[in-house]
Amino acid sequence: MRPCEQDDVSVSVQRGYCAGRFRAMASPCEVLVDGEDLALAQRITRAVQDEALRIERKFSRYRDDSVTAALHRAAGARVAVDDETTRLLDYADTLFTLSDGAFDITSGVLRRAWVFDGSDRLPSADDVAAWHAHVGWRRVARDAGGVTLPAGMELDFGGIGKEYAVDRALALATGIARVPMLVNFGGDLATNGAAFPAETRRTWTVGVESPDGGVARHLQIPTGAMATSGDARRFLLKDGVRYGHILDARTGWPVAGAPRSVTVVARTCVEAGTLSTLAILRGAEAAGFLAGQDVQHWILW
Amino acid sequence: MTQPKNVRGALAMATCSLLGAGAANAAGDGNWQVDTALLYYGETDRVSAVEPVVSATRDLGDEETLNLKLVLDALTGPSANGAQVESFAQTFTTPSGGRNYTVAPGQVPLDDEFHDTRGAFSVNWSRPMENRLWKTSLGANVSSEFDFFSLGLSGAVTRDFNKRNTSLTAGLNYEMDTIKPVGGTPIPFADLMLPGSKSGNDTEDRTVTDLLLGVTQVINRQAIMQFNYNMSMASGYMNDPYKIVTVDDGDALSGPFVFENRPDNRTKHSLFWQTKYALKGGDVIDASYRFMTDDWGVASNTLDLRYRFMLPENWYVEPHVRWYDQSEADFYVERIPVALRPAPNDATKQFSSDYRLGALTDTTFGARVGKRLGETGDAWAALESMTQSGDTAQADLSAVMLSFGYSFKW
Repeated sequence: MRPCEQDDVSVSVQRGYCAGRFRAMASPCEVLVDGEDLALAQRITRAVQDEALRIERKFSRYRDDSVTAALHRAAGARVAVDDETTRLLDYADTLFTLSDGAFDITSGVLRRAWVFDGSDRLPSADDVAAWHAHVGWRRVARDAGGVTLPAGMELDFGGIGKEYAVDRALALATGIARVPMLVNFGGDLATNGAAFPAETRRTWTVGVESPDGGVARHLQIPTGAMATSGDARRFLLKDGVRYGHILDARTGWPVAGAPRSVTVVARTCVEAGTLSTLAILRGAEAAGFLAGQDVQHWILW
Repeated sequence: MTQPKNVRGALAMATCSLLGAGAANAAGDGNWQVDTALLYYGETDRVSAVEPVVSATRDLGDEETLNLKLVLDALTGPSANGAQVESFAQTFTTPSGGRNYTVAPGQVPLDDEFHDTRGAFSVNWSRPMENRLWKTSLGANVSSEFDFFSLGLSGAVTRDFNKRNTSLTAGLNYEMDTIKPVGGTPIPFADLMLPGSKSGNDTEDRTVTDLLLGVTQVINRQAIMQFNYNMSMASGYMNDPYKIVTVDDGDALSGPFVFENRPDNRTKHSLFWQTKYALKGGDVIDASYRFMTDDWGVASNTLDLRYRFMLPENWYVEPHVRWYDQSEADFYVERIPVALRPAPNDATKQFSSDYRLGALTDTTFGARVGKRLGETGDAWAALESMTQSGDTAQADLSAVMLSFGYSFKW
């Protein structure tokens, strides 16, 4: 193993591939590049890290210079947004429609009522209702090149940002060199395994973790992406009822009867993440929904 | 909520808009991988062929692919008519019955009315099933030339095991051929030079059913191996309508020549083994062996070896050697002794002196030079020489093959 440490990035050569690691989007991120070309892996890791950090800074609600901060500061005035932001908002709009309003990127304010720390401290119905009054995608006005966000409302790209970053980073990295690689941001991952020569029949092997610890299964993916919704660690438990951290934006409360986690394999990370989120939003009907989507998936109840 | 069936379609479109051109990695590229090649084949003093091929494969995403392939074949030049070299001159009639031609003593009798253009088109669609370890493919092909038309359907199922290191395939192919011999179907054992040698039929039929079982095994990071068993059952008109057999009546005069006759069906079994081994630096060894046996008494062995040397700047040189031998069919003869000469149309007898059913050995050697372009592109040229010999002078021939190829994404 020949490691190379620069800033907070480490790139090392393993047997047959190189692994680049860094932290972004509050997650451990890694890039696996086929072959033992360390210099190439360093360039690719740097490009992936740059893109992850760019997207994180652009849409983070913790930064003053982000798009979301500009929208919140405007307190009801129109703000001009660029093409990338417009496309993400278009996508959020599609998800809002496909989920009949259960997925809503204005529902981020509800985190002030809900703290998923594994305890039994549920918020009061009044608290939830108070914050829920500031949720409603339909109230966000959009025109070509601009957004008008009513005062008191917030936009939260957390539900799609990480998967979007994975796909974008992978596309940029593939543009540097068409070698097989895998980009993994905290469990949301995508591969360009199409770069494996077909006759070698090589694939990536991915282990899916079980919420109870350990590896639930191994997955062979020659090409494609995988994303997981739901989180074993973020929940509330009261009177024997488990409240997962994914909220139904229509009610402001966690989805009733939702599985603990849903993992989906699809062509892109965005698609996989969206399908897994839509599945959880269907609560007890998650299995039926995914069965009809013709994708590989696992549900952990 | 929105009906589940509509979701994935709407999502696919929305994702495309969101990711735009950048989504070209895992999603189907929307591109076609195109492989083109041009082959020139020339036998010394005999058949020449020019064959362009275009094959295009589209990656539809999710491991689903569609392949289209077009082959054109233009053949010219004379080929052996089945009669042997004699110490006296021989005269034959062409298949269309239009004219006679004479062959000098000591020369291999060749029919030069032989020229044909063939076009073949095939489609193959392959996709994984919901349980990703299974994959199915379906294909159809059509081939047409002046005196022959063929339609075929195929289907195969593949199942992966051992983390995709082992793959089992079962396939079925069904083909229907229509033969329209120039001048009409000849009557078996009728005399070539006398009137009434044609049956009055314009067309004949044949069907071929193939069963394939195969296993592909990844041995390690360097090596992959494949074993196939194939059973082929053909039934119907199996004769070559242009081939004749000499009747040996002991005199030094031309003929008699009679049209050949083969059994109505043929069952072949073959076993195939291939290994590809990748060496450091990108060199690859590719070795294969095939054994075939059938109920006509023909058994054959094919040994094929290629070694690709990778050179700097993505150039490569690939020498190639192929060795083939076969034993003769039970009903193969050089000449029919006059005492055994069957009556015209006697379906209970079979005789053929087509050298392709006789004992044969051929050796091919040559090399290919090329350069890999981009990730899947390739440009190459190859030159090969083939030498064949058999029991009779008909079978002795040599051929040169010159080919060019270019693969690209479109």
